[in-house]
Amino acid sequence: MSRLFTQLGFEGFALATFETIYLTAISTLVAYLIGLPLGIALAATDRGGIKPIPALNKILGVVVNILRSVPFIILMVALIPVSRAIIGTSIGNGAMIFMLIVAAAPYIARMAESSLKEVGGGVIEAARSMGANTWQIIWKVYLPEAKPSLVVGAVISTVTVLGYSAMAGTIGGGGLGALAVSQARPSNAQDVIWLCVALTVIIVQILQEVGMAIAKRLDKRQRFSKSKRSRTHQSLKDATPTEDTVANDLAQDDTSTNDASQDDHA
Amino acid sequence: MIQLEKLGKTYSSASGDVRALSDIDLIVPDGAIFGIIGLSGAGKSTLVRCINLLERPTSGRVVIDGEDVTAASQKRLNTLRRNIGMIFQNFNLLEQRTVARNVRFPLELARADVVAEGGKLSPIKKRKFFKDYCEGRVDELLRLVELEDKKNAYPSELSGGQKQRVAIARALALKPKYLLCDEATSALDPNTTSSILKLLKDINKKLGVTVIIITHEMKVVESVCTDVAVISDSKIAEHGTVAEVFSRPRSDIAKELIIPDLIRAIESESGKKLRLIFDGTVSDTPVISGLALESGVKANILYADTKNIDGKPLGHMVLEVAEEDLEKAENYLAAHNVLFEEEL
Repeated sequence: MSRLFTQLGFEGFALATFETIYLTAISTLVAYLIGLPLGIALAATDRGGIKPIPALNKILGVVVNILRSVPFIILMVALIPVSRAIIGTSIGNGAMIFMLIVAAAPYIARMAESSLKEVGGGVIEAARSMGANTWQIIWKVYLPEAKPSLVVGAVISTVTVLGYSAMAGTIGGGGLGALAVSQARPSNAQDVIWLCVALTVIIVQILQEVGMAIAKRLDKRQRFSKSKRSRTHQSLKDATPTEDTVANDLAQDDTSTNDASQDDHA
Repeated sequence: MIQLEKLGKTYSSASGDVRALSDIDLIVPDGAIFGIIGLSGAGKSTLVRCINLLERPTSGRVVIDGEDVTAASQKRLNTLRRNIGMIFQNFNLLEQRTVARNVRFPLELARADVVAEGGKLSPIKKRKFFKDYCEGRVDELLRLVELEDKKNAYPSELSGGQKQRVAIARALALKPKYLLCDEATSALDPNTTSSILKLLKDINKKLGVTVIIITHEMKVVESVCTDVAVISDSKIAEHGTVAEVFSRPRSDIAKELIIPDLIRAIESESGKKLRLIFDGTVSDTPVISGLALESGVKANILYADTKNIDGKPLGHMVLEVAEEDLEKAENYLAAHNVLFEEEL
């Protein structure tokens, strides 16, 4: 066991873990406050969206693309003066949160945009036929119908921000990344580095599992398709299972949510 | 009453303009079940979307109950749309809402209007009034479509026919005067189709809702519609009551849609052909025996079929007769009040 490891003790690792969670949580949360409306705007103003405004869509798209195409470490360097101007400092956790938000918001916007675009045009047309205005479509159709997909997007975004947060060490921030890079590596404390890796993996695993479980619970589309599927298998039991029937099953699974040709017993 | 006046719709694309509708003049009388039939690509879906302006016509006007809908502001249009329910081929239910909450959806959109019915209320009382109103209305509608037991189910747990019933209940939530059905039975099997059509007929009778049915299936028009317009090549080929159009189809497209076998029968044989139309009004004279025995006309039956239109039997029969017998046959039929047409 290295000297650093004993020096840190339980408290040292607990603090670093907490800092990582704190950096990630705050940044992701604030980034969502910016990114989600931006994503809604991107989806709504697109050609074929619920409120097509091609010029605005183009501008938003370009800004998002520029921010997304710069690697985070370069963006951080570029943001140093901006951070100093806006929040008064360019080092420490505060500055790190600012930079994470700038990097994550456009990413989240694209994630949200793609989730919202999964909502079928037919449902939106139905809402319009009932006299829904643009805001009602956003609040009552877009967001609720895309909710499971938005949650999946949130999990992916959070994990991405967690990854970025490891670079906090470069500007004097805290967390597991900073511990591994700025303290453990110079003193060659391999055990500290590996524990940091392990703790990060655990956080990501928990996030992933909990997030996906929530998304699955929220999604009312596939809730009962499992039992339907097993019924299909039952009826095919007598027939020799050929590649064809297996392929049919798979095809059926894909379309099970929208299967219109089911018989009606009403 | 819905009036379409010189309605036209042209889509412009990079490869040139595509005309979907041209010069459509049509009146849908109140209380009718109005069928609009045509082959796919004829423009019927565009036509129905022009009625509630989901598609904006490029020329002409849509007038509903005297008001020019095409000239209405977006806000006014949203209000007007509440008077026009719509159901779709793919049901378009909200997948993340239960059956009851799907039916409640249009009420939520029109919350302000619904609450206004309760008079002046405090915010808390408004909430309560709205909640109670919605619950009552949802139960009433689910009873109408016979899905009370599926109230808390999600669309993914329903069959196609059940989904369409939910869609119908939802479309009726705001007590519309009109109901547009865009290929509403095209994704359903024959049994389910007839149960849905029966429901639409009931709604028309019980609630007095004017129903407009877009379809490519003659069976649908035949079994429920009172009026029909045949659309072909972006234009109305002909329209009238179902009995009229079915007994005397004038356009080729109507003939092809209504009596395809007849067309084949006429085309496949040479010689003079008479098409007899039985609409249930003629007396019980045995026409064919009479024709042979009394006037000595030798006739060959090429085609015969009877359909039940609006509760009345409607039959077509095609006779092949020798050229020299033609006049005799026509005189005999005219004398016995049998409707007929000479087919070439």
